[in-house]
Amino acid sequence: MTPYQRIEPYLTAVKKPARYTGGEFNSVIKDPRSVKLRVAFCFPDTYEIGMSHLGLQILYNVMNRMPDVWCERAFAPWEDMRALLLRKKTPLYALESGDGLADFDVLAFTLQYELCYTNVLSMLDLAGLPLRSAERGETHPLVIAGGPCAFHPEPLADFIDLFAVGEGEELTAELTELFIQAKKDGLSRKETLVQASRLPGVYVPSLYQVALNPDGTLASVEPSDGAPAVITKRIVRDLDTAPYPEHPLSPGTEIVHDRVMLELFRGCARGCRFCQAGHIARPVREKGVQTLFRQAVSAIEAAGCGEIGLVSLSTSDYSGLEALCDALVPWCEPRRVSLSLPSLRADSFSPQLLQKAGQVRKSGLTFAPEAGSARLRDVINKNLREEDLMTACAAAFNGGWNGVKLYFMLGLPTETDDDLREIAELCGRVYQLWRQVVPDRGRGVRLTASASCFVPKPHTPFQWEPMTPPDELLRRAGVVRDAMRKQVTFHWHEPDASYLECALSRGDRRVGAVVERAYRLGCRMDGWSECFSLEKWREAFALEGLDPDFYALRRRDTDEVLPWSHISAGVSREHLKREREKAYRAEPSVDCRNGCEGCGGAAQRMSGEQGHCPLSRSFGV
Amino acid sequence: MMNLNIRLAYRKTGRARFLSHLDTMRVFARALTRAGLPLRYTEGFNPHIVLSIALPLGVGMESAAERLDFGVMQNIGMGTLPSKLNAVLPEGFFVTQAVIGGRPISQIAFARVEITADSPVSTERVTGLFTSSAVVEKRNKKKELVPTDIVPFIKDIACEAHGDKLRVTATLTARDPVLNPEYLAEAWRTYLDPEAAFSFKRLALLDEDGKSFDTLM
Repeated sequence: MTPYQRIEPYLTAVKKPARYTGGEFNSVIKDPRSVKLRVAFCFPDTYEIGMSHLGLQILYNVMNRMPDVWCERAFAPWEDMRALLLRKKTPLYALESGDGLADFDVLAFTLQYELCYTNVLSMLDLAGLPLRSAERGETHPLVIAGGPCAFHPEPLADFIDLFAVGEGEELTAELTELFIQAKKDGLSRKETLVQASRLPGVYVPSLYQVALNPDGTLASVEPSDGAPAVITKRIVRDLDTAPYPEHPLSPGTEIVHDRVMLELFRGCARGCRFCQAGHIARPVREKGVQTLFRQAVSAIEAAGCGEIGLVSLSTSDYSGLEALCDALVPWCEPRRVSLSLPSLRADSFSPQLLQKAGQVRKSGLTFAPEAGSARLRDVINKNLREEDLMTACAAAFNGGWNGVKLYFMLGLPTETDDDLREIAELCGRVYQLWRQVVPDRGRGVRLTASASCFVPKPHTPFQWEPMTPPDELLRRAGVVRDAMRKQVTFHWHEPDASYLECALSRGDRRVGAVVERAYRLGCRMDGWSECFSLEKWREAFALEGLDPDFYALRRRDTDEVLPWSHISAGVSREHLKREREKAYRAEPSVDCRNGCEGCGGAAQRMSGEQGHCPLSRSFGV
Repeated sequence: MMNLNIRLAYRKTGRARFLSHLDTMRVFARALTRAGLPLRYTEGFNPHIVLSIALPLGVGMESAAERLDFGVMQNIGMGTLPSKLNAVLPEGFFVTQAVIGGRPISQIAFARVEITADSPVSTERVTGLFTSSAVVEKRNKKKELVPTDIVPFIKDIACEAHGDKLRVTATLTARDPVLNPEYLAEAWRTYLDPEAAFSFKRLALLDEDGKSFDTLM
């Protein structure tokens, strides 16, 4: 009897039990005796979040096309299901076979954001595995992790055997092949990990000795057993030939983004200084319109889904967007498939395009100026002019949209109260614009401004900056609120979770003990406001003799060895320093498509080749 | 343009029983789309497939007798439709029959259900409870919880030992009001055994005369 079969009779007692059963259309069932490696792809958040993640679909497909590998899925159970599993002494299982996670060869976690770290420990614990790598033995699965947080992995270094840094399509295939061979050769855990550390993009934390200075900063990170001193991220050069999930998993129960996702390109040419994704995903690599059309058709047909999302970091920057829509719309319309275009920029938005995409529901459009004043937008290199925003809003109002949502950040470097009041003034000018543009005011308008808290992130020009303290962020939110006219609805995020996110993202290896302590104190599902408790986390930091302010609020020297200094996103420290200095001078940088700042983001030490940035080549750098 | 109603009879078993009524509608909407049928859509801004399922089944309940209606705009072959749909439906769903038209759903008067109980009580106590009076908090038409005797809504009931479990077979009203078999479980827990565990299966749908709704579709 599998763990799933043991728990099945009790499943009606938990909320949304279909999250825990598997059996989705296009899920892959193999004979466990016919494969050489069993992998559980572990998403450390709920099923609804995990199943909305394109990376899961991509890697599930990459592994399951390999005849020797069976990749299954596991998600973090909600509290009621966690309690049921514990009460019935049943381990967490994978959805396809229903087998317990401890029976797998590899558990592969994706780390999408820091507030899921306690869920990683919860899943290992529910699987019946020791949390710490050092305590796991030869019979236990290897525990590996990838995703954006693998770029600053130290807080999980004690728990994860191996991090895969960068894009996973090729590296995942290489790793599974290596694990199969290692199993065949009877290699020990340590021997397997040492071999894996030779693969570009692999970080095996147990092979690195960390030394501290008396003040708690890092003195050095020294590799052993021939592991590389610097681990450089992996990227896929040619997205047209990269595997795409043409038969996506199609869940029966409702998930967050229930649509086929079509990735137009990776990377972003903009270089916004606060944005980690824009820095670690460089360089820009577009898929061809024909590839995208072919993939869209097969994925929609296989999923039977009525919506397709054209996704990327900045969808309206895709050079073939118009051509793609021209091809897709006539195919989608008779089939009642709607297109959605998230991540639009106000300066490349075209209402004609949206009309063409058949977005007939004109409920709301979202733009992200990020800062209220032109000066502060230059500081963060947002490169968005107010007139572009106004043109976009006017086009939206004229085109029949009744609502515009504007996103801002609070606590950006150099921000003053004047910048904050300018958020309110900018929103006020958008309201005035609506009054001028729309003749029939009876129709009403919904203007919403949302402010999140700026978190300085590793691998960005602001990685050395202190975060603005939570109480100061609340005061600043108050400044905006007091200046905001009543026709605009203003929301702001609670800063406590952002503060913890900041401390974890810039944490060193000692923070691992804090994560474990927090988990033992009952912290789980920290990304969910109903579960999050900063008090418990503060207690966990205190019990480990550490101060979260040290990680979140401290200004670092640019020469400091950072906990992620040995992980390279390609972008050089010199480039980040230059960008930081320009930020202080409120000086923008050029977009990759208009020039080259020489970031190095394209340089990837692979096959001895350097610098294959498709953009840098055209500039001769 | 033609406007035909297609009636499907299908089974829902195994893992699929945990999908809710709405989830099941979504599963069929996708399967019908995958099958490439000339589906009829609703009018308006947000068109969706014209589709309805008779007598919503509770989460966790299996069924050997489900009925689903959907609209098409051209005639399609009924003979191959079940196998065509079974090829694009997820595990646990199995279409047994498809017809054009179908008898009005409003003629479904009763549902025959099988309840398997893990509970150490005698069969006599079970039949005794459900033939005398069993009052539970039941939702009325206004969704308010009202103490209600459910026995008048049980047309017949039988109970027998089945291994170390008890198997109850009952005919329950399926309109005015619909008696969800979960209420029998609730009465059982209230009057017989608070620790009892249950599984449910809908066996058949019956008309006013107690004849199967199946063969007539």
